[in-house]
Amino acid sequence: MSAGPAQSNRDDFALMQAIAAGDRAAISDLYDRHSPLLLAICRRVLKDASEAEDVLTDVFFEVWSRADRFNAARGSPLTYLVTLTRSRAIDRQRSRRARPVVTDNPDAPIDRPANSPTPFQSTELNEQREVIRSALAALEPAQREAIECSFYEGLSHSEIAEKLNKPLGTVKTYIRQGLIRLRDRIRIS
Amino acid sequence: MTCEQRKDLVFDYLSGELDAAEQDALRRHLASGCPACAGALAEAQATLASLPLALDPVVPSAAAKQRLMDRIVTAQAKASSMKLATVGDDDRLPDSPALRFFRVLVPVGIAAGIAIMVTHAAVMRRVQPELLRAQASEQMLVAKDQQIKSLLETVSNQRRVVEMLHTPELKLVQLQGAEQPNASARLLWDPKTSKWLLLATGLNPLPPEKTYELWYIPEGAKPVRAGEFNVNERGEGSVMTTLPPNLGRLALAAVTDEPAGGLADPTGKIQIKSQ
Repeated sequence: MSAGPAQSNRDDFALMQAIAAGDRAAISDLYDRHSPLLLAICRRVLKDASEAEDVLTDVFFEVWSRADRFNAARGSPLTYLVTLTRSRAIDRQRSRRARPVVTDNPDAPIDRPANSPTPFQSTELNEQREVIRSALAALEPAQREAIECSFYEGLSHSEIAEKLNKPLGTVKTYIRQGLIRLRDRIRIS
Repeated sequence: MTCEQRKDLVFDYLSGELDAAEQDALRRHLASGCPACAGALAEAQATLASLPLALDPVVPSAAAKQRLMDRIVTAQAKASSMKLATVGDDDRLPDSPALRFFRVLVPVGIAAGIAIMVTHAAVMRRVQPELLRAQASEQMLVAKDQQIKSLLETVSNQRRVVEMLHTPELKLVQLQGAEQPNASARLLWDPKTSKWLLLATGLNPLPPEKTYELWYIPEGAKPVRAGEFNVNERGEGSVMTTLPPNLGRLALAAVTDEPAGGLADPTGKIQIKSQ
């Protein structure tokens, strides 16, 4: 395995500032650090590998070309990236008809970028992942299902109500109460 | 509406589920710089942003990254390219001193202007990260300052509660549920300073247009308003107030539900009352 360039030591805030200054290495580092999570969001919403990568590319190009939109006082770069990615994926989903799920060939070689996060560097993300999964698992099934339909499938509340065969008001309550419980559980973790 | 009630409403706000009036009211409140609500909004946004962490990451192809970097390089090249139109010999005007002067002055002026722009751009590229960092730091300092003020106010309130608890003449009045049988409250009363501190529990949260109001009802006289409060999702709420002097002997302490902002005279039903 060839050794890639050194992992960036700059934190996300520093990378966003560098991107605003036109630093291509910074957008590259930010991409390597967070693209796997953001692509997972796109894949889940769009259910199409090719479209998901298109949206991922569009998102990072928007981060590059509109770096002035990020406001450090409002939240972390990751929050900004996740919010932007989900929004763009849902926009794409609603503007095009969903295509059938693409089944990946399990024997195909995995084409990784040179700067994939090492297992050591991913430890913090893995820990966060377990906290979120545990918090989701602790929700009432109806709340969890409504939240998953909204945030992972990109469905509107009306669409969720139709899918779950529940009144619209009930779905809204499920989502609101579920998010409140998630927030409270994450806070104490 | 209290900030405690807004804390959970921010999820509906973020997902666009509030009606236009509620959305606008909350937006204006957030714009006023309330640190508690700004913190609640940031926490709600972070909660939503954390949901995708539960997904298994998917490593994109190297080709996807290459497409991104190619787009960025192209965009940078386009942004930085400048073409200058040149004037050919055939277009030259007949020589005259004024025109010769002009022919020298204009290119020099253009070159100077370009040099200034390039220098400015170079300076801005060096300075911009620092400007952005300073701007972000300033915004964070403003938010932190507001948080500190809110915390200091909370500490100050809690200090007043502790001081009251140390009062030797402190009286304790128990309120029991009337309209709300499962609700109750303890009323701490310092006769020396005429301060009342009500600690309620088990009360149902009220809609935004209503509030709970505390009353001091003297013997043979009309009720005196003693303060409004709201409760959190657990039904807990409190209010500290200073009573006017010379009210007469207390016949009843009671809490009613009233329109938001409270009223001078009670109109709602008694929710809890002293025995």
